[in-house]
Amino acid sequence: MAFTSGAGTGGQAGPPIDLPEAAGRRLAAKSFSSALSVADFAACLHMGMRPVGLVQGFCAMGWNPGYYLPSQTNYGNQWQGGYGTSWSGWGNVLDNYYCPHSIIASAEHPSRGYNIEATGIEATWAEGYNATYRRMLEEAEALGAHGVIGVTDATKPLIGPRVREFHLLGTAVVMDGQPAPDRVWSTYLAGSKLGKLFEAGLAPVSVVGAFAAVTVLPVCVTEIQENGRWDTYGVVSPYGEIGQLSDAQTSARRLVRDHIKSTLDGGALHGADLRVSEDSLVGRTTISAVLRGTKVRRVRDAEPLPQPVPTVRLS
Amino acid sequence: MSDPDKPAMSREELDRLFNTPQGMVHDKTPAAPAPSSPSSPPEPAGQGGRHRSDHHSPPRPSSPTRGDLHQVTSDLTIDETLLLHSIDWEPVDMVIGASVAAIPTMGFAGAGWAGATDQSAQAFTSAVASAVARIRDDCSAAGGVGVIGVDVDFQVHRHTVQAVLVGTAVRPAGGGRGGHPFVSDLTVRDFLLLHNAGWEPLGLAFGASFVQVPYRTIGTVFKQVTANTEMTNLTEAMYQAREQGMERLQSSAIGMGAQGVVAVQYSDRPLPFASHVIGFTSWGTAIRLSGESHRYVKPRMVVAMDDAGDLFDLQGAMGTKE
Repeated sequence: MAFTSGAGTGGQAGPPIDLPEAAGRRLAAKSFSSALSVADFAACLHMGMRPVGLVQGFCAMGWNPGYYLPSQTNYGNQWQGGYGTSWSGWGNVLDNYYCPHSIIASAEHPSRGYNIEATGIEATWAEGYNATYRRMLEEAEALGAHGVIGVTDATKPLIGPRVREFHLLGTAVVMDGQPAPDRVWSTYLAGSKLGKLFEAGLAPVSVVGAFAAVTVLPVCVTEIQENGRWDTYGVVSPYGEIGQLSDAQTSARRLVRDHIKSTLDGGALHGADLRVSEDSLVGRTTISAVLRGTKVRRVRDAEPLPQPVPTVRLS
Repeated sequence: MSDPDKPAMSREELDRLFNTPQGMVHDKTPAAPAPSSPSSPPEPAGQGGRHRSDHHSPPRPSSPTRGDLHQVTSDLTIDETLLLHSIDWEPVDMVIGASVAAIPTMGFAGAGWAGATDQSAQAFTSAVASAVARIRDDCSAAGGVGVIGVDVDFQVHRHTVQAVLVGTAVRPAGGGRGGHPFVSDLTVRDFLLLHNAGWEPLGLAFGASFVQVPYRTIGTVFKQVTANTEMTNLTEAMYQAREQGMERLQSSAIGMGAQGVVAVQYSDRPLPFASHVIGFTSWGTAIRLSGESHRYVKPRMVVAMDDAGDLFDLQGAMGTKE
């Protein structure tokens, strides 16, 4: 990737930035592009925000989960080693599950089961998202912008499940008459929705995203129940809740919520958008959860609206 | 109300905004494995033992002060947040409950389908009930008195039923009563109307039934191929299954002490992995009167002079509309 040093449209020279050469040429042009709708564009101008350019950040990340995940043999050996399971490189054990049969473990009969937080994948995701976010802000800083509004997040798998592209795109705005900001703020909101946020006494701080992944190494009970079978010992029946899977589905979602809370720093997450997917990584079910939203801060005391008047529209 | 000729944010507000540290994203580096003791005894036999980490019940500060946004997560829109504030309620946290239940293998794959459809319905009930219990626990831990705007996701697989509920825990501003949190899939607007009309949500009512569409005999096929006629075998089987699903929905509401169910949604679709099997699932919010009688909300009649939906409505958005 070629890099260039950025200069804002106002002629302010900036530090070297981590952006392609074409970005420098585009941002230095004396016109702007914007992804805002006409209504949102008009709302921006009304709120004293002048669009100065379309800014974006991009990053492609790849990972090899097989490098981290214990092999089937190790899985058995881990059981034979009893407790003290070390899943170094893969993640933290969230839950342990035990075989009720009192028989010797084997690859065919896993007597221990684990729900593991896949911290290796989480760290890779965070690195990709952070780099993308930083590059988008660098473009905005090159334009001398105060903020980035109407951000869209087009993160998706690239060539195969183990390569993911991160892409943030938004419209940089300058608030005329205001001093240059220490930091550029950003939000998924734009137009009237952003106006309502200000009216509610809140101000956007930054777009935030978090990722959590939980890998399921099933215990024998889970495998038996998942296949709808009875076991031959009269202990496990294919009825009722499958505790390990229920815990995994719940943990993935709660983990990502807790991850994003760790970035809020006393603020709040507005407009949370939770997406969950399930993949099979080297034969192991992994539940991935992505949570996005706008981090907001209160800048004015809350002034509740008067009770809205119910209306019936005649047409 | 704001002055439309002025920027939306004052100089002080901007200073306050830009001089506060900004976060980026969760940047979690691989942590040390959770400690587990070699001498910990296995849990009693049954459907398997389990050791749960502390993650499932994280300590969460509950600071019931009005307008406090400390660490609040919410999937409400800005409109919904403002509406909630108008009745002096506030969001507390995004809360989650998920559960997976097993369906016995004789289910849709074998010849004994008649019994298996009942077991599938039981599995569905078990999964939803457990998911509701989990989201209630999460709500209580967050200090909420109920969950609204619950996104309901049911998935039926060959041997499992999965129920996932995600919503926003809410409470009256500055705190609220404890007790049994309600769970509702109503929007904030519907919750507000219900609240103003003197009703309160109690919980998520649900019901399910599964039916294997009966095959026709050769004789029936020949009779029906030459005439336009009702396919009574299909009518009977599917009508019965629909009624059964809705009966279960009502029973679950009655079990909560509700007077009725609003905003019932239902889904009826063939199961992708089992030919001739159709699943009926229905859910809604069970409600009861919070006072002695219903309060009429007296809506104001309005006649729109234009199609407001197509127009830019900034003045309304900025609160400057007359």
